[in-house]
Amino acid sequence: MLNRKMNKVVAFFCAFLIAWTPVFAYADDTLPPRVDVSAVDLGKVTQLRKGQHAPFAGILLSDTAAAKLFADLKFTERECQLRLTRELKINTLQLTSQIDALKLRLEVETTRSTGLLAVKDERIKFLELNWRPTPWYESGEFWFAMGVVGGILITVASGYAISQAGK
Amino acid sequence: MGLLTLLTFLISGRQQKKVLDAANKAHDKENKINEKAKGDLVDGLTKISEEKDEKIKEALRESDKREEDLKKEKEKLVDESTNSDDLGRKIADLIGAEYVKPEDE
Repeated sequence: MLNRKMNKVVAFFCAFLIAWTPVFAYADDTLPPRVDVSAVDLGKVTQLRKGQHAPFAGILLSDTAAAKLFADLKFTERECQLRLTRELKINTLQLTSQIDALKLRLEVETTRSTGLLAVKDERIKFLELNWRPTPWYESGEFWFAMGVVGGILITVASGYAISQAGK
Repeated sequence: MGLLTLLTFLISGRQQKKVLDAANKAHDKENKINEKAKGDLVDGLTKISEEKDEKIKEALRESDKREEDLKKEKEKLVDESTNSDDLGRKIADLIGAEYVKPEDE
């Protein structure tokens, strides 16, 4: 009884503590400040004629070098795409060829196995029919021999009988 | 008795010959099947290899042509851009840089 009351008191105390425990949200939902793109220095470019003052320190390229640089920048993606396409096509052709070769192997092997199985089946059937020789008493040779032996015996017996009758 | 023995030998010999003949025929058939499979495989693989080589050559030819065209186009652009007055602006636009006019313009 006392134990039950004690449990109730403890439960009430715990509930009281839980209700009074302050709950804080530790997650910070504020977004990080965005990078100001305009503040990023992407550099400067100018185009000078001979004798003109440069507006900032930097590297001066001749018209030809600048034109080449411009063309390189402009064509890099297309050149890369072209190489990529070529490699992709070659790889596709090679892999397709490998797949075709494997399909052919499978087909040939299937045909070969089917043929061999047919031959084996035929051979099994033959051996089942001929697994033991014909019994000697069923063969034609035996009966031929029996005929010959019988003829000889009959001839001998007849000769003996005739000779006995003459006596 | 001797005649019977001889006949028994003859009978069993004939039976064995029949079995061996059948075995030889079966082996011949198996050999033919194997040879045919070998021939089919060699022919097929040769054909596949030749077709692949031809297709790869064609793809390389096509790619070389495109590369050559691109190179010509690039050279044309270089020639056009060399004497262009707004090359600086074009480069700046391309790389996202700021174009600065010369001081005395």
